[in-house]
Amino acid sequence: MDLNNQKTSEYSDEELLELSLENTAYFSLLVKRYKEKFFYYLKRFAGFRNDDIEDVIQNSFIKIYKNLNNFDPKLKFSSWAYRIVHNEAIDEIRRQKRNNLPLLPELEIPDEDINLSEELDIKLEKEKIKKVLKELKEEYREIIVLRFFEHKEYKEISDILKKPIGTICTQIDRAKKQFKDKYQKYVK
Amino acid sequence: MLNNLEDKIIKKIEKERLKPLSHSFFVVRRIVFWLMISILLILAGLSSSVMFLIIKHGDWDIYRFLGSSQTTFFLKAFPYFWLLGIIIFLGISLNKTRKADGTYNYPFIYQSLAGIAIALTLAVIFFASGLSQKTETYLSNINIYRKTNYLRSSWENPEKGLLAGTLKIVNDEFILKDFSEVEWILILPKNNFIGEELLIDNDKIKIIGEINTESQKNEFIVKEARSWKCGCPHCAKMEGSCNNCSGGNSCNSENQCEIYKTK
Repeated sequence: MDLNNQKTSEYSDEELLELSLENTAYFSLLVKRYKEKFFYYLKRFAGFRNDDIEDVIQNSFIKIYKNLNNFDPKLKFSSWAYRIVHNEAIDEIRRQKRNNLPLLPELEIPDEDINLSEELDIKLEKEKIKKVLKELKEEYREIIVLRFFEHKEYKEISDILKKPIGTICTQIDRAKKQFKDKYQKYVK
Repeated sequence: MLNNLEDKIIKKIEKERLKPLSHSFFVVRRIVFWLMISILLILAGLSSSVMFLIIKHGDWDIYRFLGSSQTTFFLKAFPYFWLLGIIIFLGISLNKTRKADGTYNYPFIYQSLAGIAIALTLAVIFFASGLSQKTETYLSNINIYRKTNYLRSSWENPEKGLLAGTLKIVNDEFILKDFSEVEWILILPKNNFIGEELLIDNDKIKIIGEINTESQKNEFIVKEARSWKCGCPHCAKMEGSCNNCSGGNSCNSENQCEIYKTK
């Protein structure tokens, strides 16, 4: 089925998801739509090498495909999909730890303004941000990346990480504090 | 990077003939999940009710036979087994529901309080219905439970005046086979004694008394008999015969227990 001529960009994620149940061509559109977003998310959160990222994204989409009938329409598709990618990333990080592989080998920070400077009220440099992120606890790094690099709302982060919104708020505050404390050591 | 990833994925799906799992699969999975959580909460409730039963109706007075202080005896005989059961069952159920769909939105403290409330409600129901007593009595017949339960194993001390086992009545002779398979001839008092109604052939029973040192045979002089079941120490039976003592109600004073009053 040739979808190239159809106005597939008009379909919402949820509509594409429904259509994917009947035709995998629609699923490939979902993959196209999200693969880059997941690539940058994994680079920022897990710092995987490119080969590992491709494997993680592929495994995630296979999982998404197998679980199409488990999608909860109360959630946004992106939250649900990010959750699956996030969990695959955690599994890959654990696997790399078990095999004594270096963690976060290729961590990247987005070029665009991430408004973390404003939040922390300090001037931030890219290389120092990377160093601090590498030192942060995984639970704090994931929340900083989702909030300030991926620009996710609190509800979305709650759905991705499966934690109450109150916990997310608390963890964001703690993550910011820890980030700021560690960053200021580098400045000194 | 990631060029043609979508083609690779679709090829993999087609090559391996992957299909989305059916909707009913997820429905069944959710049902099984919540069934397991329910079972864990029921077990937590049951553990709570048995722990409460033992604390309320255990033979806490036998410390005086064992040469132990009341506090030491309580610390040794406390139902740790059931406390561990509560912690394990409740702990596992809360750990699993923490990230479950439908419950992850709620703060963990609310989930914990809800879990504890459900377990306690079930505990009250199990206690009132007598299920806790049935459970404890059933398990007390299992060696490993009895040996690890200090309150139960204390009754295997004939030299200290505490004996327990299965009663056999043979030609008007009362023989008790204890849990070490030793047979004791019971010497009953001439007058009525507490618990004499409990001397039923093939029933398990607890006896307070002393070894007859004047005899060459294994003879045990009976002073008091108690029900093998965990319950009122003064009633002959636990179920229904005493109006004040049904389903595990406390019955430890002369004024409350009808049968005790007649002694």
